[in-house]
Amino acid sequence: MSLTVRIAALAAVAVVSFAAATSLDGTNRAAPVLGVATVGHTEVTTRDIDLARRSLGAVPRATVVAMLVNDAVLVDEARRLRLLHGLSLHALAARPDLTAVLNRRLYGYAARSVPLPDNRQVRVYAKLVADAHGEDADDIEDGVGGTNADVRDYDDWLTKRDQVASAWFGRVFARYRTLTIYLPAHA
Amino acid sequence: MLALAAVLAVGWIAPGSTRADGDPTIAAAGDIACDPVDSGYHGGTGTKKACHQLDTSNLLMSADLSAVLPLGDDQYECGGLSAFQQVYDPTWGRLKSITYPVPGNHEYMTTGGTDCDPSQSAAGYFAYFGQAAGDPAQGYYSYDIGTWHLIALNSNCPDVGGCSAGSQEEQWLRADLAAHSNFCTLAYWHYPRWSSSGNVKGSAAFWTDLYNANADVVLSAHKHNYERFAPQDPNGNADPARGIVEFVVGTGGKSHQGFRTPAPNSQVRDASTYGILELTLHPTSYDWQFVPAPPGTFVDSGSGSCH
Repeated sequence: MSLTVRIAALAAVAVVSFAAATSLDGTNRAAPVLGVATVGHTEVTTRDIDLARRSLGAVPRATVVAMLVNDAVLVDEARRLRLLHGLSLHALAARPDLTAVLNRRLYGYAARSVPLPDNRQVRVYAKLVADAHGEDADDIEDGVGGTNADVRDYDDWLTKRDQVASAWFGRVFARYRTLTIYLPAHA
Repeated sequence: MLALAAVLAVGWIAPGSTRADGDPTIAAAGDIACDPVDSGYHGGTGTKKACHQLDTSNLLMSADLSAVLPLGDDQYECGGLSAFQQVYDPTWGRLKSITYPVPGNHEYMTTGGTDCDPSQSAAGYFAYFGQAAGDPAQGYYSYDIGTWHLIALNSNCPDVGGCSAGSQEEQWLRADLAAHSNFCTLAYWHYPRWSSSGNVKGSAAFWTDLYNANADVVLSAHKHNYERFAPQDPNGNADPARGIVEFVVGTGGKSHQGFRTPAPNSQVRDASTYGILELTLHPTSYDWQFVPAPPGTFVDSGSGSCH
């Protein structure tokens, strides 16, 4: 899609949204929803900004827009990978902490290719951490019950996962830089 | 975009104050407040061995501080908002207005405590600290205290899209370091890069970036003890000229944890004293002092130069 077409599409969304926000008798009942940027196939709107500012308080608008564009990258990529599972940019705008949920899903996807080491204790740790959701996780992560070698294997596995996932996230954000378009007024 | 993000993140919170009568002093510790239903909580007084968050917070109150740095696992078991309000707030929360926190793994937990957040997004932590904790989607930010630049990082790597080279946080860190020319730099996050208490998680890239930028001090917690390391390079080699000094200060009150085999370059260790680390930030150097909570008697103090 060319830049011109994309901007036109954003403008069209803004017009439609404005119309929807205006009643038949011409009374303006709600602020119009305007497009701010498109990130891949995900649109950031003034509604998202309003939601985010409601939850974040007095944060500069430019900061909020930058946050939402980052979130939109995650949303768009998760949708492409069918990992969105009910989350949306609106949801993240209203509760920015939920970005961690999306990050974890994508992290797990990115690190899926890192094999567990051939160490039975590490496999036990990995399963316990995945299942425990907190209870005694410090002990598990510290390798209580394992040898120093088990702990080292476990740490190496976590480190490798993080290296692979971090590089993957880096590539995703780099790719989306070319897929992000700001409306001229918001650039 | 990263440069912009760095500038924006720096502007997220107001810089700390500097005392008129001298260089600023900050205090830090992690692994702090017990869950109110913890068997050791005892209405806030704790037991002989656990839940000493009130004692350590009294140390904060008796010092003249410019900033308080909770190093993660600030509120057990799961960082629920109600737990924060019941336990952290009347203790360490007495200095909330000068607090610059980082989250630990317990802030992201979903079960096992009071008012846990089932979404595993540290909602209680971000709700309690508000803007002081930075963007809830990130949990990392930076600011200045006196002449020093301080960087708060989130080492819960899966929750922020990774901590290694290429991740958003690592790129932000590099941009932030490039944008700040302060002579002295201190960074802090929850999981220690080096510890004599078992496994440590993937903060190697943080250390590399900080080392390349001539940073001076790193503070961490997670291990429930106190440990100080000689200046080290990113590979853990002693480097007196350019190395970064790491303090592990997991002595905020929750409980204690012993050591395994001493790690290379570990200089001081204690696993039986609750307390806080105070750092006085001079323009080109710093003084440190581990202050024990009664009845503890362990102390550690010294000075270092920035590079």
